[in-house]
Amino acid sequence: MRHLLSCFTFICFLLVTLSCKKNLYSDQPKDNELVILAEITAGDSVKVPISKSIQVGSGGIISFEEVNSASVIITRADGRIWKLRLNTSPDFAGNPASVYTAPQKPRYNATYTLQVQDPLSGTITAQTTIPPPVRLSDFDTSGDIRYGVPVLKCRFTLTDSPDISHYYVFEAIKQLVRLSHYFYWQGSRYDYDKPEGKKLYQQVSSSPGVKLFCDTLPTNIFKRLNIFTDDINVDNAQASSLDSSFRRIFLPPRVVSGQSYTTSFSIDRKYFTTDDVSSRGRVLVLVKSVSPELYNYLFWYEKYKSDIGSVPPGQLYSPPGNIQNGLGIFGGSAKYESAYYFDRLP
Amino acid sequence: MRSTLLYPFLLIVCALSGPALLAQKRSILYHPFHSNLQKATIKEFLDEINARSGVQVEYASGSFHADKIVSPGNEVVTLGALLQAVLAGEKVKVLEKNDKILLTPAPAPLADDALLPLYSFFGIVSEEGSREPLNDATVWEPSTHKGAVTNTHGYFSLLLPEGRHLLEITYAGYRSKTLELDLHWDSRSDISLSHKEEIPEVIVSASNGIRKSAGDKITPGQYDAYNNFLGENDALRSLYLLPGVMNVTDATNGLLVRGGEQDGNLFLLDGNPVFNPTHMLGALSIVNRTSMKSMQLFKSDFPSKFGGRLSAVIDVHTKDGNMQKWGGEADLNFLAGSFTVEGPLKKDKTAIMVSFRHSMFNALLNLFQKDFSNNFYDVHVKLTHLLDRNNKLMMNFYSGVDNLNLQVNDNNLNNRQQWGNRVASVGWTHLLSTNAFITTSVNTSDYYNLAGYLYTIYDDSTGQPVNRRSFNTYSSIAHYTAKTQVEVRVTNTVKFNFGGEAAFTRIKPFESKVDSTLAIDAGAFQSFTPLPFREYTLYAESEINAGKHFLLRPGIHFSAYRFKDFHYTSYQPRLFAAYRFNATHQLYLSYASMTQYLHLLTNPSLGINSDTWVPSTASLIPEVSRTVDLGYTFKGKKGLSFTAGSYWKQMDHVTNYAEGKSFFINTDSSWEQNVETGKGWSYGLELMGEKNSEKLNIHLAYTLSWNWRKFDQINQGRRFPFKYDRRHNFNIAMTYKVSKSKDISMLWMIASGDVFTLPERIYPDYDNAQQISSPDDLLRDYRFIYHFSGVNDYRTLPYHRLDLSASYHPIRKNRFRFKWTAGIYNVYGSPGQYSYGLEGTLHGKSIVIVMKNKLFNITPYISSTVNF
Repeated sequence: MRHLLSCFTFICFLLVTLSCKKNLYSDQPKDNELVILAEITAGDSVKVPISKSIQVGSGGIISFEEVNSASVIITRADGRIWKLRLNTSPDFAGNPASVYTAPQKPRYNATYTLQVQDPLSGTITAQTTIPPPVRLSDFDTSGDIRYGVPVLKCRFTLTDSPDISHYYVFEAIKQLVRLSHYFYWQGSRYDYDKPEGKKLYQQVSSSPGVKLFCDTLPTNIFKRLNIFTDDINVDNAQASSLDSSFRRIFLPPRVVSGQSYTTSFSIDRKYFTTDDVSSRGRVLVLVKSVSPELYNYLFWYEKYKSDIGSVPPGQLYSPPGNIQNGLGIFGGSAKYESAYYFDRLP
Repeated sequence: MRSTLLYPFLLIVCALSGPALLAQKRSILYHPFHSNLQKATIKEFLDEINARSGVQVEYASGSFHADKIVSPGNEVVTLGALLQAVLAGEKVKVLEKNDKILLTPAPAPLADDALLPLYSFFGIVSEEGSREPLNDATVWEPSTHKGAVTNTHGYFSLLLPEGRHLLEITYAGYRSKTLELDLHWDSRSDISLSHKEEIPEVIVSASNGIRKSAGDKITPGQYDAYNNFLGENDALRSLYLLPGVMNVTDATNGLLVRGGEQDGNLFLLDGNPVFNPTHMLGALSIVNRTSMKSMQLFKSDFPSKFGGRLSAVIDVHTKDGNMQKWGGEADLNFLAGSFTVEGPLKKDKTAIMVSFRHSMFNALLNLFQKDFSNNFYDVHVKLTHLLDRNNKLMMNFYSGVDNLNLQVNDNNLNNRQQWGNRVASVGWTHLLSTNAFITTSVNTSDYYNLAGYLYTIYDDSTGQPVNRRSFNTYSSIAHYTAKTQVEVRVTNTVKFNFGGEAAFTRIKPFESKVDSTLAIDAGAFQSFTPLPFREYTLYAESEINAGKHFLLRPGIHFSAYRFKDFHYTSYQPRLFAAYRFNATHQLYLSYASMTQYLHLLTNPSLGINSDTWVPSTASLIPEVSRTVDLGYTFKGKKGLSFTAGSYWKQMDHVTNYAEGKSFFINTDSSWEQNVETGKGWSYGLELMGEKNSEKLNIHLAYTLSWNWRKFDQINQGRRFPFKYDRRHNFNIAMTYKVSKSKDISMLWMIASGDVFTLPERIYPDYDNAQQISSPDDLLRDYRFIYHFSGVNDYRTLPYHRLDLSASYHPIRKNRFRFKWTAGIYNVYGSPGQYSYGLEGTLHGKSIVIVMKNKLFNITPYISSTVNF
């Protein structure tokens, strides 16, 4: 019995010693990781915003670092490789991430693998598949009032394929436009908005046939428009009351499931028109079918955005990504887009 | 898999109980017979039996000394007793066959009581004067090592051979009694024991006998020196001294047992379930010390009659009431004033016990905690009526209410809460026969919780407050049961318990209202349709003493559940086994399977006491646990005792709010979607040592435990530590007796911190990276995403607290006995809860904020008790 007691005491001592592990939230430095925040869409040229995470709680300043030296490659399942380059266009000047672009356009039903190599932050990979096209019928719009707020109601029928699971996301954004001035001289078109074009125009404006034209060009800058729905089958209903406004509306595959499904959402008209020239643009109504990982990420992002500021950081939920050795999301989408012009454009 | 294990188990229970039940058939040895012979040969006595008794005794000549002259005496009144006396010392074996007695040769002489008829000696052990039944009193015959232990109602039954006996009746804190008995038929004797006037503050309750269960029993006064909360003794706080039991200050009912949650504890007040047995956010229990008779905690070895919870059963019994004279006790301290009065309405027939407690003025409390305002009361009335010697009626009523206000900023009432329990029951106990006892009761238990907090709406442009709103929630539960429990003493070594219960429960889980003021009317919450469910229970259990060293208690608890169209049945096997090496060393083993149909959801973002009870449904199936426990006890001769236990507990279908679905929306159909079920498991090692001497009592307890959860949709399906996964938990309590009337005590507790989740990285906002801005976004400085590596990856600082107290309790000289206690709670102002947060905006500094909260800081107190 004495030996048994000694053995027991020794085991207890061992257990206590081995279990003395502390996980205090210390200020031990954590490596910054590469972050991808990309949605590649069938028919649109590819654009991959890349950034780096930063550690919080250490007393450092919250400011995101540029990633200018990365090698970014997208490989299609058939082996075709696209090399993306850092886009330094003023269009992306306000972007917190560095944007890498390529002119190639992804296809429906194709799988793409992203590889990003950064000499400072390592290599990350991710994969996504672009869904098949979105099939809509009976798309119509009408003006409406919702809780005293004027809205544009979009009503449509989704025609789903029985053998494919579509993860639908609905959203509305306003794409800002900029005015473009140009003129023709001696058969060539010149951009008046560039200094050299303006200088030339001043020299030749009195020449016969030289006339300044004005046009609107879409930019890469968007404003989000709040949307509403009364459809109780949307996933938003699980996280919030349908009285709320949403950034995106999420319709899971189980609802549509290979049949026709009619639904609607309403867009707040508050920013449809503006007197501010720099905020003028066109309203894009987007019905997207997105890859499951993007759907998941965006759903949690929606929840995150509604909670931040009112819920302590410890109780927020991070959107779950699909980046190997990094953070963020690389997702694919197919979209049905309908553009509406409400602003008075020149 | 379940049935392959279950049916053999059922077979064992029946097999072990069945033969014993059959043994109850009376043999022909009980046949009354009085010999006309005073002194004769054995043969002559046997011939007389054959001639006059109507029973034939057959034997082969030469199998014993037939010519031996014997004199059995005049007290012999049965055939068995006569044969025992006549054949004493002869090497024979007696067999009964076809109403004949066969005497055959045997290698050993006839045992002293082999042929004696056995009779039941039964009765009630109670306190002298008050007739308060004594639970766990021992009725014991030292010469034959036969004994019995009383049940909750003081009932015992012991099988003894015909003849003279000398019995000892003992109970801790009471004077032992010796009883001489001449037994010739089943006999009842109600025994009363007198209370020792002066007993030590700390009683060592463990006996040297074989351990009958792994439960921990707390008797009134046992840990009074350590369970004092601002002057108010709280027996439930005594449980925190035991290993495996944890106190969590931010939980409404902060008692957590072996990795379970609050809802895993079944709290029974005189057999009635109480859903929130606490006052003051869990700081104080509803158990009023002045009315408590006993409390027992079961955390691994669950007797089969208990069910419906995964982690623990806390079985509290209050006094029945004094049957002979009026008396009572009153307490007064910083926190509350209370009294208990008990006495006979009709002497030796009907008694009443009334207990009342009310919180003290908040002004007094606010000297030490200015943000806290709490009013509570509880009242308990118990009526006991003896219909006759075999029948007792009991009526119970309890009601308790808390009104709590907690303000964070001056003049700003942030949280307000009202909750309460109402419990009532009517019980009937009946002695069915000399060896059977039945208890039947009808019970009702109601609980409601009305909580709300105020928040301010600010003008975005000016930052000035423009409006105040309140978010209010209401939930309630009504529970009705009818149950019956039968105890049968089959033999001295086999007891058989069985019973059943039918329960109906109606829950209103959650309803919220946003208003301009805090809600005070529960009747305004009527939109959520109540959720009703039914539960039926049957149980059976045998307690088998195999010799002096081994005890086995197999049992089965069966329950059937129905909620709307959802049916569920559950077979829950239970097993307890103890092996006693000697008076010093014992080993025990237990296994328990438990099923829980009620789920408690606690929402961290809704502030205080946001408990929501929900029933099991087809998608939210009942919680199930299986616990294995292996323990060792040591009991030395000089007041030293030591217990070591290890356990493994597996929990299935435990609940959590589904990630991202923070609280219920008032839609009757979708509430299940907000709850997720997963797995949990915990394991650990528990050590407890006590040393009691004339001057010094020391109590040490240490728990080493791990506690995990796993949900498919949380933490990417990976396991994570449960929020109260405290690796180490240690407490030391000491009382030094300065003199017979003075003592000083200290309690120091230290435990590992709780785990928590906090993001450690951030990255740019997704929409921002798509160059989408939201014109209505008021939080432009928060355009980033917090990233978490995992759930509950970090641990807070350790918790520790020191309490000191001194008591003066002069020896009683008249009807009144006084006790004064002064002490300091939380001597060095240690925090009771840590919460970690992050602060930082774009282009600003990111820092960690640590908030150290304590319900009560350094708080001195005094209390006085008078017993009359």
